[in-house]
Amino acid sequence: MTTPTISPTTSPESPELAAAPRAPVAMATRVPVRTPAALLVLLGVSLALIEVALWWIAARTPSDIVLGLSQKIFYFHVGSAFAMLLCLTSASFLSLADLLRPDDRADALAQSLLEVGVIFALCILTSGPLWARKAWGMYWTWEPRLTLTLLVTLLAVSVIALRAMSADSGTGRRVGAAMAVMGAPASYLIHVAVKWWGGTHPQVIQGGGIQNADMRIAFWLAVFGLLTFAAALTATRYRDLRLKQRGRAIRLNLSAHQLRQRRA
Amino acid sequence: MSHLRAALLRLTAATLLSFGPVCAAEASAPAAPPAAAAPTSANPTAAGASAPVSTSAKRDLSRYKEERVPGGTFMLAAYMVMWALVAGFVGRTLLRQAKVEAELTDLSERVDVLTGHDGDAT
Repeated sequence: MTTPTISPTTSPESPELAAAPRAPVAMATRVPVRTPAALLVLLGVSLALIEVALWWIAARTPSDIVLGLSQKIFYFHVGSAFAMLLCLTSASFLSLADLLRPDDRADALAQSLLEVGVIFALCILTSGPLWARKAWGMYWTWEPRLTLTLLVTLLAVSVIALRAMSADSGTGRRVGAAMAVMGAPASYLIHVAVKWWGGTHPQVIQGGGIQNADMRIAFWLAVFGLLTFAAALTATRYRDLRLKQRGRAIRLNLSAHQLRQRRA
Repeated sequence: MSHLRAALLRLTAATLLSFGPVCAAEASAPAAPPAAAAPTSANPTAAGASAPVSTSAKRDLSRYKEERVPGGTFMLAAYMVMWALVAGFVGRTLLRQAKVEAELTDLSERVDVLTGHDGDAT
């Protein structure tokens, strides 16, 4: 939850001061700044998976007869899409939870997931057109899945921008969360876009799967590698946001303490 | 947070090491004849006809040459852009984290001064 800032000029009778924690100030300084071991392990696992996937894609998977080497974009393109959809859907549910019952942890996690989701969305929106140029002869076409992905990315970017501009504002947080809730239905629509509205985007997984064993292994290695990498990035950003929230809490505590001392 | 920086360097190196030879092999391989070279009525030269090549057919052939899309370059570009995006995000996160950590250290010192404790922010 956003904590209101108390300046030394705040009225002693103000509700902000009344709401300020009365715990000893020194307790609030116990912030775990050191990087948790679990995060390092997660990062190590994701890197190992990605490196094996890269090697497998380069050395073991065959090139496509028509698309040539550009087909190899597929592995990380789809992996990024999985990561993006998972991040935005999770951010959506966490934002809903935060709207219903405000919680700092849910807010920080939703924000982290949204940011990581946008990074993977940008990965899709750049790698996809490079693949499409070879496959379709054009970089971009306004077909349903592509258009929806672009719109969802813009929505997520606008939520991040709103949060950045509104800083500690509770209203900004609530509006941002309400906008982020749209992530889950939008992700579902992206998933079913080709089935419902057609379009030129291929459906490899839903449309028969990958037949070649090496391609299948490379694909799942890339997917799991990117998902764990997304988790590691989210955890890193989450830790950063939590540290920021704690810093705010300490500042509030400090201001309240100074104000009480002045009153005394 | 040097582990994240090192991780990105490893990823970039792994991408280049994995795909470098593949792209080089593609570049040195003899170019496959374009689809337009197939003996069709639209391409009299490929069909072996001795009739003079029309201007429109010449234009078509030059277009096919221009339209040859280098798959390996596109693949490498896609991977590089992806890692660049991730690197940008990680770099920004590291900067923000350093700022927050500095702020926390400063706050801890202020609290310690206020409470008269030795204090340990970590």
